[in-house]
Amino acid sequence: MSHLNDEQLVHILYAEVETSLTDETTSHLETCQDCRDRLQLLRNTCALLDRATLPDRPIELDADQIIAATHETPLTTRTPPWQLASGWMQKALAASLLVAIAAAGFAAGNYYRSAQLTSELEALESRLTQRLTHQTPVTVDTSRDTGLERVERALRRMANEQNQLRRELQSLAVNAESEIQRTNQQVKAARAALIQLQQLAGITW
Amino acid sequence: MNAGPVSNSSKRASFVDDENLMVHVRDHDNAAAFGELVQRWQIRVHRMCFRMTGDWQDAEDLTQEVFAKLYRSRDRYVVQSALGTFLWQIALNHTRDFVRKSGRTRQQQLQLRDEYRQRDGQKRDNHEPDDADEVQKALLQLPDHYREVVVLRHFENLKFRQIADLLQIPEGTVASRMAKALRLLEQTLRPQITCEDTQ
Repeated sequence: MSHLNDEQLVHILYAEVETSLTDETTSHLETCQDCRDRLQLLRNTCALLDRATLPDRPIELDADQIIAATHETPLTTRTPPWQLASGWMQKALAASLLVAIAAAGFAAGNYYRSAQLTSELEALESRLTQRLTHQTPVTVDTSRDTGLERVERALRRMANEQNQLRRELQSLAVNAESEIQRTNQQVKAARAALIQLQQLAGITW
Repeated sequence: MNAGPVSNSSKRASFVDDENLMVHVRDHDNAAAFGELVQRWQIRVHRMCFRMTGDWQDAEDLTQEVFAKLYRSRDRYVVQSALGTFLWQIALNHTRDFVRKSGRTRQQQLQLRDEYRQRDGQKRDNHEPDDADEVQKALLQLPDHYREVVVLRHFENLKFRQIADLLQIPEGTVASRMAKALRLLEQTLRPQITCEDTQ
């Protein structure tokens, strides 16, 4: 039999050798001076530890006080899941959190942009309504044009303005539509990330 | 694991084992049962915390916090596991957290211990460094993962199997850490050991 290893020696030292190994190790120790010396050294160290009794330090904790103190702080203040989670789980949680935060931020940004777009639309609508209901008086240069030409020019100008307003309105409507679609996608992504986060938190809780 | 609670009050209710008391705490918020558990275990937990930190005041604070954590965690206690395992786990984790968060190096722990010894020495005029001081100093010089194995196996008399369960490592690793720790202690305490040999 080869020499006893450290694990075997400490098991012998603390009398925790498996019964099946006792005979084998005992017979080896009887014949091996080297292992006996190593064991003796460990025994001497342990003997010194045994003599190292601590000074008597009485402690008298008040259980009622401990309970009262725990009631002061909510019982739910347990180890947070991200501390219980180990290694990859912590990274996954952190990544999911980041994704959720980014998605939420993106969605919030889009929401803000949509709100801005809505206000622009409202302003445009108000301008259009104002223009259609309260026609701007047509200024006529009487020195140069005949009556018919003046009316025609005025009408053409109004039509141009209305066309321009319509184009702006259409452009804004298209932008608004695409913004709404993009926002919906971001909200979906944020929701999926949050569900994933909840699942991860649920697993580790 | 029902590793022999040490307390004078253990005689009072020794007919009720730790696990039953903990079930009473868990199911009925029984303060008397919790008080009994505190009585039974406080000295051992206090001593372990001191062995790990080297400071009695810290050890006392930690002991109080460990029992507060035990009470808070009562819902998580399952009858199948011994209370000792549950409590030692809380105590070990809490002590580790404390040591890590306090950022205290082993050198600082030693300084603290020396300060304590000085203060204590002023009370005891004829105080001289004794074996307990030297051993505690040597213990504090050990890396944490070696120290906790020595404290649990040698001083608290837990079996290697129980320590393996507590630390969630193989039993062989516990034994090899113990062997390594004893070798390191032997190197630090060599003068005392040599002296003992010559006697």
